[in-house]
Amino acid sequence: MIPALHIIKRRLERNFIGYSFTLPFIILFSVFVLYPIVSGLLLSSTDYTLMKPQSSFVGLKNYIKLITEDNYFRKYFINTIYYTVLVVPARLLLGLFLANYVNRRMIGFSFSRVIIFAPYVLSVSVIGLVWGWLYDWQYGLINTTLKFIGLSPIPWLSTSQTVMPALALVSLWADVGFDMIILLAAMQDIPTEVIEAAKVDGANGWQSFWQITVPLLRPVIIMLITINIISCMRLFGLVFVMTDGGPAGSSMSVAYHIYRTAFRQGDFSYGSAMGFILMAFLLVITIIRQLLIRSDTAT
Amino acid sequence: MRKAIQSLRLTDILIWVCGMIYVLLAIIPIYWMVISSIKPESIIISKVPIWIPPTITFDHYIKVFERPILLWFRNTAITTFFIIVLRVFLASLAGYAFARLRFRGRDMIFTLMLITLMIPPEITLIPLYLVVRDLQLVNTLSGIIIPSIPSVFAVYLFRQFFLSLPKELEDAAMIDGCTPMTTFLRIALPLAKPAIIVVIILSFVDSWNALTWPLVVSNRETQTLAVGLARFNPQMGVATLPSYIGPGMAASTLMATPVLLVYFLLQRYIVQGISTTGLK
Repeated sequence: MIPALHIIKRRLERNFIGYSFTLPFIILFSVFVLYPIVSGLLLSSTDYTLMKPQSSFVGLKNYIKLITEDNYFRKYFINTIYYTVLVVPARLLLGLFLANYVNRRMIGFSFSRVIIFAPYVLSVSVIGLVWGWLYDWQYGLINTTLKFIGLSPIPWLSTSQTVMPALALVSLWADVGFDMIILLAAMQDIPTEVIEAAKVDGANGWQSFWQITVPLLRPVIIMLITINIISCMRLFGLVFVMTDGGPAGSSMSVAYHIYRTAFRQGDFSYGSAMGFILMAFLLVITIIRQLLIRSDTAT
Repeated sequence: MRKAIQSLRLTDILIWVCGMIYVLLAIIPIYWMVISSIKPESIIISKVPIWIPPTITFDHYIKVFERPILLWFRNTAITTFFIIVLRVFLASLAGYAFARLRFRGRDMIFTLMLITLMIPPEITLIPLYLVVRDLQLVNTLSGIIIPSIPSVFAVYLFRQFFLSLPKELEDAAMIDGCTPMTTFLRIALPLAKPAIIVVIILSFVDSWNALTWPLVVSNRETQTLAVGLARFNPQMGVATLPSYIGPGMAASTLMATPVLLVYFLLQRYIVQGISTTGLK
C-alpha cells in the first residue's frame, strides 16, 4: 500500500508542476482563442444584435439565410475566391522561380533575397497607402509611366474588372517572399547528387527542374498552397485600406463584410455565422490537403 | 558537350536577368514611398514620373505631426512592448513544459492548440470582441495587448527548440536539487537565447503591423499606427487628393522604418523563424 501511495503522490506532484508551467498560457488561450470559437458557434444560432441584446435561439436560420437568400454574401464569397484563384498560382510560380534564382547563388543573390522578402515585414496599412498611391488614376507612378511610354492609363481601383487583379498584384509583391523562403529552404534540403545524376543522364536545367526538383518539393508545395488559400480567404486589410469594398462591392471580401456587418451594422449573430461558413470552407481545403498527403505516403 | 555548357550558361544568364528585373521592380514601391515623402507637391502631381526630385522638402513630415501620430506611435510602442515581453515569458514556460515535463493531458492539449492554428482569427473576431467587451477592455490598450499574448506558434517554436537541446544539463541540475522552475530559469532559458530572439523579432513585426484586432477594439485615444494610417486618406480608391499623398507617404515611411531596420539588421532570424513555420 505504501509504495502505491508514494507513486500516486509523485504523479500528482508531476501533474501539478506541469500545470503550473502551462496554466498562465492555457488560461489566456482558453479565454481568447478557444472560448470565442465555442461562443461564436452559439452566437451564430441566435438573433443577437446591438439593437436587440435580449436574443433568442433561432437554430440554423442565419446559415440558411446566408446560403439560400443572401446574394450579397454569395457575391462577396465569390469575390474572395476570385482573388484567391488569382493570387495562389501566381505566388507559387513566381515563388518557385525566385527560389530557383536565389538558389543558384549568382552575383547579387543574397541582396536579391533580402529585397524580395522585405515587403513581407511591412504593415498592410503601409502597403495599402503606398499601392493606392502607385495605382492613382491621375498622378500615380503606374499610370504616368503608361502614358509616358504612349499607352493609355488604366483605372486600376475604380472599375469592377480591374480592382481584384490590382489587389492580387499587391499581394503578389507583398507575400511572394514568404513562398520563396519556404521553397528555398526545401530546395536546399534536396541532395545535390540527385540533380547531378539527372544532368549526367542528359536532362537539361529546365527538365531537371520540372521533373526532379518540383516533384521532390510536392509536399511543401501542397502545404504552401493550403496556407496561401487560407491567408487569401482572410483578405481584409488591403480592402479596408485601399478600396473600402468598392466600386459597387466588387472588391468586397468575406472578412471585410463580417467586419462591416458586426461593427457598422451591429448584427453580431449574422456576422458570426458568416465566419463559420468561411471556416467550413477552409476546413474542406484542409481535408483535401490531408487526403493528398495521405495518397502520397500510400504510394 | 560544349553545346550543353553553352546552353546551360544561356539559361543561367536568362534566369539571372529575369531575377534581377524582378528585384529592381520590387524595390520601386518602397523607393517611391520614401521619395514621395520628400517631394514638393508640385512634383508629386507631375504628369511624367520624376525619379529624382530636383528639390526636396520636409513639409510633409511637419504636416504628419498635425495629426496625433505621436499618440499612435506611443500606443503602438506600448502594445508591442507588452505583447513581446508577456508572450515570450508565457510561451517559453509552456513550450518548456510541453517539451520536457510529463503531466496528464499534455499531448492532447498540445494537439488541440495546433488545431486552432488552422482557424484564422477573422472567424472569431466577433465573439472575441464580445469577450473583451464583457471584460470591459474595449478602447483600452490592455484590450489590444492581452488577447494578442497567447501565440500557439510561439509555444510551438519554443517546444521544438527545447526538444533539440541535450537533456543532460537539466538532469544534472535536477540531481543537484534544483526544482523544475529553477532548472528552467537558470539552465534551459539561458540556452534558449536563439529561440527567444526569433520569437521577439517575429512578435515585434506582428504586433507593430497588426491592423484588424486594434481596429476593432480601439478608439481615437488608443488607436495604433496601423489603424491611424489605414484611415489616413478618407478618399482612398475613389480619388486621391494630392494634398494627402506627401503626408501619407511620410507617415508610411515613419511607420515602416523600425520594422525595415530590424529586418535588415536581423533578417537571418526572421528567415529562420519563417522557415520553421512552414517546414515543421
